[in-house]
Amino acid sequence: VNTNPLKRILMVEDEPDIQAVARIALEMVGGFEVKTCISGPDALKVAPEFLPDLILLDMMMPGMDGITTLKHLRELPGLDKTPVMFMTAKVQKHEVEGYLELGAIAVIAKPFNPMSLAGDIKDLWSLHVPQ
Amino acid sequence: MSHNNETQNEPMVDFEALLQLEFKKLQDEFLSKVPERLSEIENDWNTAQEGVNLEALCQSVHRLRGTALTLGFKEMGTPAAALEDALKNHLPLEQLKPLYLELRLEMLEPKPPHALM
Repeated sequence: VNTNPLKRILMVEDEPDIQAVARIALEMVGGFEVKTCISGPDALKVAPEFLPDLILLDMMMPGMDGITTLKHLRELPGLDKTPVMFMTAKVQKHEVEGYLELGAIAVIAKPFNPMSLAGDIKDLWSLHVPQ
Repeated sequence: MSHNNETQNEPMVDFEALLQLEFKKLQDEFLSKVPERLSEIENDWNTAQEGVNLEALCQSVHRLRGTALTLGFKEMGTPAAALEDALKNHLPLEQLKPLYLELRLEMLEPKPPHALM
């Protein structure tokens, strides 16, 4: 029995078009409740109220990048242990290892496939989050 | 021997059509903004030529790469990706010109997107 279901996803992505595709993929295909943020500072405002089950974090954003955003998210109440998946085009082995060391539970390669994104996230969730 | 269960494909037809419609809207919207993005990249390329600022070019090409590839515009995203990677590897601009011209040509007359399925 799944005691830790994945329902609410906060997505931090600076490109509106990519945000829109991911939203459709996660809401319509995955059935998740999704909130999107356009930047790291935006995520720091929204996350404490939304209290997501999972945060999808774009790595390369102007201003505050994904790594810095994660660091600040961890300092906020209720977000110190929220699972995070990084989204990035840099998925060479050593790069992925680096991201996992920073505290991400998984890395999603960009460009993602909109039809399989939700399923991939569900699989990674069951694999890495204690059920 | 087991085969895929195909008994549930009845409601999926409409659902997939609906999804495709949503994706189509985003692709059309993207296409309508390609000329705007092209003039941005052209400006950034010219600025980079003057040796003033490579960062702006890197960013505009990076943004185009991500969006184009996510929305199925492979022929536009591929030279954008190669150009961004080359910029990050500090290759001389003169050497990048063919990639830039390939990208520019594709942006002037974009090929239809590949299906997002």
